[in-house]
Amino acid sequence: MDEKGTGLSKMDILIVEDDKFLRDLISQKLNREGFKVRTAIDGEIGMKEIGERRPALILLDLILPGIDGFEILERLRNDANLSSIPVLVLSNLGQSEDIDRARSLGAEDFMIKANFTPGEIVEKVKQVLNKKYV
Amino acid sequence: MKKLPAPLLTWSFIALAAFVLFSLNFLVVLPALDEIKKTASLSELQLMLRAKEILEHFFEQEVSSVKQAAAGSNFSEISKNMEEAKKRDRNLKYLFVESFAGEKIIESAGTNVDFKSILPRKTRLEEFYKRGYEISGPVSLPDKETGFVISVPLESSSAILRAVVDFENFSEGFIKIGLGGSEITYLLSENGEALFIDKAARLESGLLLKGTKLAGEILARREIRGEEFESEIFFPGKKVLITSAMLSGFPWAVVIEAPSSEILAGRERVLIFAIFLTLAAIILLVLLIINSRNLLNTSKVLEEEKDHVAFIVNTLADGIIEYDSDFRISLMNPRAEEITGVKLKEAKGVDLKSSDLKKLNNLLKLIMFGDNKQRQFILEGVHEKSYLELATLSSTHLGKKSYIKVIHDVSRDLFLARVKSEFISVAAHQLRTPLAALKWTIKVLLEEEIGKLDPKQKEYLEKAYVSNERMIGLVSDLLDASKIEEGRFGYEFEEADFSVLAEDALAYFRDIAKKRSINLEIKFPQEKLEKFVFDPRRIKIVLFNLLDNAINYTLPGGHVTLEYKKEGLFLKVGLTDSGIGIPENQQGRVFTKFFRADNVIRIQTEGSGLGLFIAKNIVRRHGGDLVFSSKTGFGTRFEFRIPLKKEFIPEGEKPLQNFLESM
Repeated sequence: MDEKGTGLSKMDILIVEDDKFLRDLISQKLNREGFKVRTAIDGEIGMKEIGERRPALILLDLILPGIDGFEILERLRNDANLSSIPVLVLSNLGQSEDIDRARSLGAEDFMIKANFTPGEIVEKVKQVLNKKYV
Repeated sequence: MKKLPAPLLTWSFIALAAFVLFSLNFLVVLPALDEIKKTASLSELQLMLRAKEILEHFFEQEVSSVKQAAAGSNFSEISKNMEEAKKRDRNLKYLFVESFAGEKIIESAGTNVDFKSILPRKTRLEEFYKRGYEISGPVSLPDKETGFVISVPLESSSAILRAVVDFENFSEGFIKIGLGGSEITYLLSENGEALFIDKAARLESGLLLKGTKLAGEILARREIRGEEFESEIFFPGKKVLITSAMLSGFPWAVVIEAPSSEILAGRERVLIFAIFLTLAAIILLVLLIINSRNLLNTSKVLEEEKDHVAFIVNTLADGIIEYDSDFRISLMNPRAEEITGVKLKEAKGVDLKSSDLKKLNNLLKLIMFGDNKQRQFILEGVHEKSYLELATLSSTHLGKKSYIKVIHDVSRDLFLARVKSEFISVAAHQLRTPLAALKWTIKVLLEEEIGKLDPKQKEYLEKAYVSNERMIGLVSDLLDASKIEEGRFGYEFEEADFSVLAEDALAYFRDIAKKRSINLEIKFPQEKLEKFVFDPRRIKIVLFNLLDNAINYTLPGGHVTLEYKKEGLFLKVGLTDSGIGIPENQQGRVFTKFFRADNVIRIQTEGSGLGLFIAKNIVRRHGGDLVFSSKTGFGTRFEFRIPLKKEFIPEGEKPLQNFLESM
């Protein structure tokens, strides 16, 4: 909260998450924290949103209908304009091979949904934004 | 089969022996029997001829003695002659003259016998005069002796001089002459009565031949002078050899009776030998027949056994290929044909190395692959890849070295393992979504972002949060256990500081222990522990699982102590509690999946039973081991060691075939 006044607020965060309830919970939390939040319910919409306007950070689920999280990571990495966008993976997957794969595809960090509280997620978002933009 | 097997060889010898024995019987033994009989008969015959000679001489003497007496011109002279003859010849017992009418005219002195009763009456005069004497008998004398009667015609008047000759003296003399042995010599009269020369034999045998067919036969031949006769006959109880001949000039026959057993003893021995040989030959033949039947049976059993083994091999779920050191295939069961796509008839005896066919090349690669250990082999089939486990066994078949490849197709096992793994991943993913939703919702509520909560509401929500956390932990443990079994847990070894983990643990568990009134103590080492290579994330799981157990299963007021230090090339970590302990009868199962001790289930309903399974595997993956000792009611100590040098960390993660086995 004390960072509201800094440059982090109003930053554009894209949440790609197919579960409506989780999506709402986390977007409301980020909203309350002062971020500008966009949401996408699948990979395709997510890619469209990214193409329309470049977000400051992406919170990405991995298992998605259609284009999945891994593919989004791959596409971003292969696009010179987008490869610098920090991506935080927020997934139900959590095996070391999934984590390794996501990391090797350029994910900034990997969070297993059930192991993090909304507060901790926000903390992580701020941490990354600070690292990248401040 | 190239060599004649030993039993067959033996039995050929036995057949040969039987043949030799039979031949010996026919060629040597049977003629020998005849020979022996001939020789024996010949000696009997000689004996008989000698007896005949002696007897004839005796008769001649007696006849001439009586004739001398009869040579008187009147009765008084004859009477005198009679007395003189009696004196001269002791064999002459009684002499008398009688008329043709049978009236006694004169008699020698001392004759007090009624002779009519003992004398034969018949006298054929014509013959009598022609021959000049007649012999008749035998007669029984009053003193029980045996004798015979010599009759001669008187020259001076028409009367007959008869002399009763006692055989007694002659018999005694005859024995002395030397016919001995067991033979019985006797005279056979014209009416078939025997006159024994041997007194002892006379007493013993009586009239042996009387009324027998043999006596009749001997008598029938009496007309043929000097004809020798020989025959064997059975008397009750013994078999005798009879040799006889007519006395020349006298109407009697001499007979020698000898027990066959004695005369032909040699023959019997040979006969016994012959019988023995024959029996031996028969026994051998019988054995031969039995054995050949056994051989036939055995070969039948072997044949059946072979079919049985072939049936088993053909129905095996694993493929079997047999080949020699030149990689020439001699056997493939249907399963092996199915897996390799090659038929036995296509591959049998073919030099695989010089074959152009791709599938034969694949087969060659398969049988050339691997050593004695089981290894996995991927076969590029026509439609799909097969994952095979190959084991090579070597054996010796008909004197040649051969190899057997056992092919176990694990494609299905791997497929099932993958399906299981995918199922668990998907299930965990599906579980995690609502668990995360609950967690986040409760957290948002607890942080009063939606609205104020009263203390009661807050308390309930906190309890719900803890329950949800346990659920999340369980899902996580399930995933971990599943990955450990597959050998895909994924370790990240890096240089790290164990002390940081210990501090984290203290920080995390301090409040929890305090809430449960448990004294938690961590003994840091006096000597600072250097950084070393391990997987800090996984070792943290070990440490936290052990601490969680220790605190959960220790009653309020108890204590839990963690200590660690370098010990040789290892880091030793010990965790001692004063908890409820693990029942002794369940200690063997502590590290198995889903194990929860009876006493623990009663006081703590939560717990997956996966923590120690995971911990043990993590420690083992580090090249160390996790052990414990426990006493119910007193406490438990868990202790693990992990190597400080990365060289001791085993290479690669392996799937667990059977967890208990790997312990």
